[in-house]
Amino acid sequence: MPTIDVSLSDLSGLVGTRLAPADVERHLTLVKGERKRASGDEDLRVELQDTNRPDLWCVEGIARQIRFWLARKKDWRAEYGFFESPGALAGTIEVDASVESVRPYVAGLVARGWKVDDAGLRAFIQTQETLCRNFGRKRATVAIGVYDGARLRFPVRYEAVPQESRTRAFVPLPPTDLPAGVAPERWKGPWTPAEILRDHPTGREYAAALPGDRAPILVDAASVVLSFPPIINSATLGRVEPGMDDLFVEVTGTVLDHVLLTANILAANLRDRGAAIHPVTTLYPFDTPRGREVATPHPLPEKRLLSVGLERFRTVLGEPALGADDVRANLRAYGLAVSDEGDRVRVEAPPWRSDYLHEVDAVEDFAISRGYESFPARMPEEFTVGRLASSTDLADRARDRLIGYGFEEAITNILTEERLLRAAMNLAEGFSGASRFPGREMVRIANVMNASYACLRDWLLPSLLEVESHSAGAVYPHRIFEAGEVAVPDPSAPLRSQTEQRVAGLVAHELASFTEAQAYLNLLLRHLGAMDYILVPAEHPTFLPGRFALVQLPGSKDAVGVVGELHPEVLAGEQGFGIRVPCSAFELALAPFGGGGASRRPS
Amino acid sequence: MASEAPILSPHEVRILQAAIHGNESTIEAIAGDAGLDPAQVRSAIESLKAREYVELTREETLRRAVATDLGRRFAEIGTPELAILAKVAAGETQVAACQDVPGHDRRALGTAFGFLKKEGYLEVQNGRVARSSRDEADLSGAADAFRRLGAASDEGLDWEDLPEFFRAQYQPKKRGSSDAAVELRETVTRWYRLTPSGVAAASALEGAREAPAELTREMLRSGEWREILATTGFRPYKIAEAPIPVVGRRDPYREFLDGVKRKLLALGFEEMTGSLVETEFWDMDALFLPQFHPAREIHDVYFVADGEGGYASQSEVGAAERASIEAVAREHEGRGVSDSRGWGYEFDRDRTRRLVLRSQGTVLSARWLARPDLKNPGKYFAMARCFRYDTVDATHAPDFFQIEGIVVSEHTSFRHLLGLLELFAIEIAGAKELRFLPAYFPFTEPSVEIHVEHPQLGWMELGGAGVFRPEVTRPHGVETPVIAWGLGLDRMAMIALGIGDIRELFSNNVPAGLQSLRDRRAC
Repeated sequence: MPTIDVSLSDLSGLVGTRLAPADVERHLTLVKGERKRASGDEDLRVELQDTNRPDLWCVEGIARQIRFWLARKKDWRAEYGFFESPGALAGTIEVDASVESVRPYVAGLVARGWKVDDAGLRAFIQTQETLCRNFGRKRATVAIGVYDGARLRFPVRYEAVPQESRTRAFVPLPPTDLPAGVAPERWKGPWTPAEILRDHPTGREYAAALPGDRAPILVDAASVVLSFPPIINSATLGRVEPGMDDLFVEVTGTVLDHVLLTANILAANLRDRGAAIHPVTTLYPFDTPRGREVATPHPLPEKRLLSVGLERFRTVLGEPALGADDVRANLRAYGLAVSDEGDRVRVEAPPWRSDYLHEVDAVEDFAISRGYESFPARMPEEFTVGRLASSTDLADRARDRLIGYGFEEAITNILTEERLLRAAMNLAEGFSGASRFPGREMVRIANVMNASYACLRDWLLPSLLEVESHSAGAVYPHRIFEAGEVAVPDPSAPLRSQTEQRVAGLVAHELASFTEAQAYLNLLLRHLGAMDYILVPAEHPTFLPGRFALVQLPGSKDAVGVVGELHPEVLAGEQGFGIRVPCSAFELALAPFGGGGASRRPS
Repeated sequence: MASEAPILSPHEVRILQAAIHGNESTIEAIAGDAGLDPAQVRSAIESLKAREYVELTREETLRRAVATDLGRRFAEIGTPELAILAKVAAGETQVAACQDVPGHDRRALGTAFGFLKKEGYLEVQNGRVARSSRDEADLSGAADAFRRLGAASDEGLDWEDLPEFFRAQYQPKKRGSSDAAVELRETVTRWYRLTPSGVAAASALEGAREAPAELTREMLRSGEWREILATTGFRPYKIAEAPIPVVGRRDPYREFLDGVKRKLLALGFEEMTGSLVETEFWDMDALFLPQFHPAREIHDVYFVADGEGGYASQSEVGAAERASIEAVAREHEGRGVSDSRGWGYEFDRDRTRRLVLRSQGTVLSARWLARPDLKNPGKYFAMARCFRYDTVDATHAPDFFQIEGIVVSEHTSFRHLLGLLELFAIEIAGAKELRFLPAYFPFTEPSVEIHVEHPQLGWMELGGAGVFRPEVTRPHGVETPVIAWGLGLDRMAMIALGIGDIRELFSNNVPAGLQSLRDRRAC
């Protein structure tokens, strides 16, 4: 979600009326904007939530939506007719076939008659950066350039050259802070694209946006380089300063409709500043989704016209008596062009939006325009039964029992590291678990960010030992438990793993013994309704030999639990938990005790 | 209870009474008089010293002799000197044979032989060894001292009490010397006596009966309690110092979550649960998140490692799920039953099988929509553990709970959603003030955020919600409106628990472990 800085006076100027700081909050609901805490009364910091409305990520877009709403009746066509009735062509961009595999699309427009001022220039640069970062994936799919239109000669040519080539070497705009490693006179001479990518701070920052070994170049009819998109403008034509009143704006990218939408947003913004917009046509030597000749600004007709039944507004919003006038008036107040179609409303969004996928999108615009506060809340009217999932019910029963036995509950993270699950538990690499406590494998993450969070736990006991390892300062005895989920790999399962609900208990004090853990486990098993379980003595490296058993239920050799006295290697060994008191523990899978649990529950 | 003197513990009382004679005494002597362990006296004395009832008068360092391993051997089999004299007495005359006694070290025997000769116990003439007339009382005394040392406790014996010869002969030259038969340990003995105010306090106690600590069965039976209450009363407790018993208890965070769970049950919601590992299909595609959406990149979601674990099993995908995938794919492509324009790209079906760690609880709502037994009307909730690709810090836990759900009903709408959110605000957050703001979620339209005024946190976002887009419900044949909601309760939980670091919601990240959990306020 982009966050932008907005000055209240600039916003007021664009809206056309002085906004009071107190009004801003209500107005920002129109654009799903949230005023951040860092905001002052004059300098606002606004977070724009709607990732599908890049037109709102700028002060002009915010102001436009507020202006429409205050004016109530003017739909977008009144001021932005140039989208559908463009004036005389300002020029053309001729695309060379060489860019098709590099960065195929370009759109341009000319804005004349607005004398660039500081506030407008600052806003333009912020919009350029916000759109390129959030909508253009850090310039990879969309990048914007703006130039001194008075000195530029059409037609502009868009071509790709080898990055090492000197034929289109040019003087790039220097960075604001000159880096120490580059000689000062170097900024006056021409650079090849390769040199820019290697030595220019901006080139290094955005090199990732340009895959391959070729560089797109925009060059005018007099062979003066405009820029090396999406990296940097030339210092010759690509420097825009206050006082200029003839601008050429171009957008390049890899998705044509994103390029055109961006150009439309910029056209509307420049119009709002007072410029007249003159179209530019791009001529492609290859087919594009919109043909070989594409004019900008483009009406982009596909994703902005909706015919919405009145019934849709009524059912979605819960207002059975909602009238057509109400709907029309509030949609219009949102700047939308509205007309009647019997019991339907025809809604047309402006060409700087492409978010009308479904009728419900117009329903939301209506609701926002009328204000969410105008919809009285209705309480649920139907009866439904509240119910826990059986696994939660089971876990809660186990939790209640253990708390009754005097155990203290823990709740721990599921995302953890392999070391805790294996080496710390005295399990060698390649440990082939004969049971699920633990099994051989665990669910691992492919894109690990931090080695401490690289896999899902596949048993609970390591978590409890981790808690115990921090607890030496707490009065003993310690009896800790957790009821929680683990992920057990299972290649035959649809999701390659099973999420199991388990419960584990740990006893830690001077005299903690196998017998004590076993006693609590016995009690728990009986309370869960299992009267005929078997404890089978076995060996497990985590536990002391002769002091470990598997829990089995009749008719199955698969262990449903384990109980044992923890091996000193686990407590105090080199890889262990640094625990200085004896510990005994048990862990139990809960699912086997769920079936018909209620009837088996002891009285 | 007003009192001129601080309340004394029973041990302190006994010590004062034992020491009232005003003579100086050692800890051990006081312990004997007071009928206490020296350790008990030592700790009580410190407290009495702090109150200036008792003063230290002098201290004396005592040396105690303790037998080393060698010394213990001597205690058992005698000293080498006596062993040699015994051999000679038995008729042995050979020098070498005299120095061959089993159990004794050869070198020690050599040294002993040299000593006996030099001190005139033995005479050697023409290679023959003979006993002189020198009396061996000193040597026997030394051997006897070893026997006493060997029989003594770990404390050993007072060094000064041992025979002079023994002390000259066996005083260890160096600390810890390996051939030493005796080790010397220094102990400090301290003498204490009552100060004038201690004497005064003791006098005040004099004659007074000690107040009994406990009410006993015997007192109740005999009626003694009446007399006790009329005289000394029972010893008052130091009320502030009552120990906290170790008891079974819920985890404070879990307790908070349990409270929310109860509220949701009371509001008629049925619980949904699911797998920690999910497919991209249910986690994202089914929620109408386009496959090119930035939130689906490797910097936002944890993917399950490659190999056979990286993708859901194709053979295990049932017919119903395959139909769901096709229906959702058509929605993304703009050919679906919802009449949506879709996102306008070619949907990648292979990607639907890619496995991720559940990144949002809404995945459960999506799965429930596709269930044949979905209730209508139905209300569902989940408290699902979720995982996000984020740097773990004070505001991001490695995994976290998302609390969310859906309402399926012919008669539900945006206004009902507002009503439900209002209920949550009142029932769960205890809020009196609330407001609704437009919001954006890819899977709901209209979307709303609810902000509430929390008693401690001020205005805060309680949750996000909306009416599920038809692109989300229709592919599964759900024709009725579905409203979806999610609550962000972590900050509320942190306030309830009194913590500032979100990681500490989980017990394994709590700095002092169990102690911190015990100290936490109950929610």
